[in-house]
Amino acid sequence: MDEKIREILDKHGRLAVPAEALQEADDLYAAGMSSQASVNVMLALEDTFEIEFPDHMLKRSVFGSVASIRAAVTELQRTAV
Amino acid sequence: MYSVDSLTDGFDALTDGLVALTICRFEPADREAWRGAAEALLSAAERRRAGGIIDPDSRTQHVVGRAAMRALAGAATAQPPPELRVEVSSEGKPYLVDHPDLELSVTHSPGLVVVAMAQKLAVGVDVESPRTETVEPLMKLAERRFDRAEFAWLEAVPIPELPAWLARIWTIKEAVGKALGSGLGPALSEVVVERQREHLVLTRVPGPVPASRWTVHELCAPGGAERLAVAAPSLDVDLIWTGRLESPAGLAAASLKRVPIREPAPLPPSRDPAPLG
Repeated sequence: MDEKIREILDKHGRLAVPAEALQEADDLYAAGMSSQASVNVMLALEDTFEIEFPDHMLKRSVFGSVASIRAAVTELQRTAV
Repeated sequence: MYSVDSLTDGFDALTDGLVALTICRFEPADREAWRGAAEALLSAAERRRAGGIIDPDSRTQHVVGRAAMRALAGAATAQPPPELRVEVSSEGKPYLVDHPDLELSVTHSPGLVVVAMAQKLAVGVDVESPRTETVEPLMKLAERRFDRAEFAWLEAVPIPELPAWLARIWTIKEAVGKALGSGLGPALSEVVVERQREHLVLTRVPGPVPASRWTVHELCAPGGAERLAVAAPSLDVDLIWTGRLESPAGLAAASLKRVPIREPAPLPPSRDPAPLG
């Protein structure tokens, strides 16, 4: 899952560095991701993992790192079953 | 239609219903100078956190935003900017621990920072550049998250005009979300904006203040093509430019004095005309 998340971040996150160079807890906003880019990342995650982020999950703490995105995707996949 | 210069005749202090705006513009070549001047106004803890921002442009935008906010708040409270205690809510809204009456909002895009400050009035500000490459993802977002009527009017916009309309609707939603302190997620779906010819009108806002009692001012950011929206839950809201900082030295000299900014002409206020029905 991490590999797919990093692919999405490279394509949609408008990061200043390659996603593979980031530690899983590194702050994505500190790496250059804007709020609009975070929305693009959310849309790509929804398509890739066939999930839907509820509004309250579209926030900095959820989209702030590879680890927090993975936790959110995992949680949404679990509750969707 | 009004010009920025005529928004208000000047002021001595921040009074109710007045939103003070400060804008900073900087070129990539001046990044280091801006960052140095900005970091001198931050608290030690903020400087440490900023040191963890690995992208140089993001770091400069962040510290200039924080410094401009502290400079403006320092001028309003007669306190040295580095000594102000600034915290950030879980949804990213900055606030002054010792001055709960002062409301602050910060937005930035590459080479641009805008700070809004008001007294006893929640305020949100957001800036975006109209960009062709954002049309596809934002229309996808609109289809999934926006109100159906919003998506319908966006779909009817000719494609060449879409980047500007999307930047406008985005900045309004995000500015209202910031004023609400709710963050972006709920604002995307629960803040609803209707197009009435060339105007955008708020028709739904969550919370105790109905959309008809909000003010949204839309402007073009002075000195550029970015769209700027300022939102506050009150009918009587005037904007005043208190700073147009084009050199790092201006940060330390920020004041509440009004500065004339005559160009470019702003967009019409989105609450004028009144909502239909």
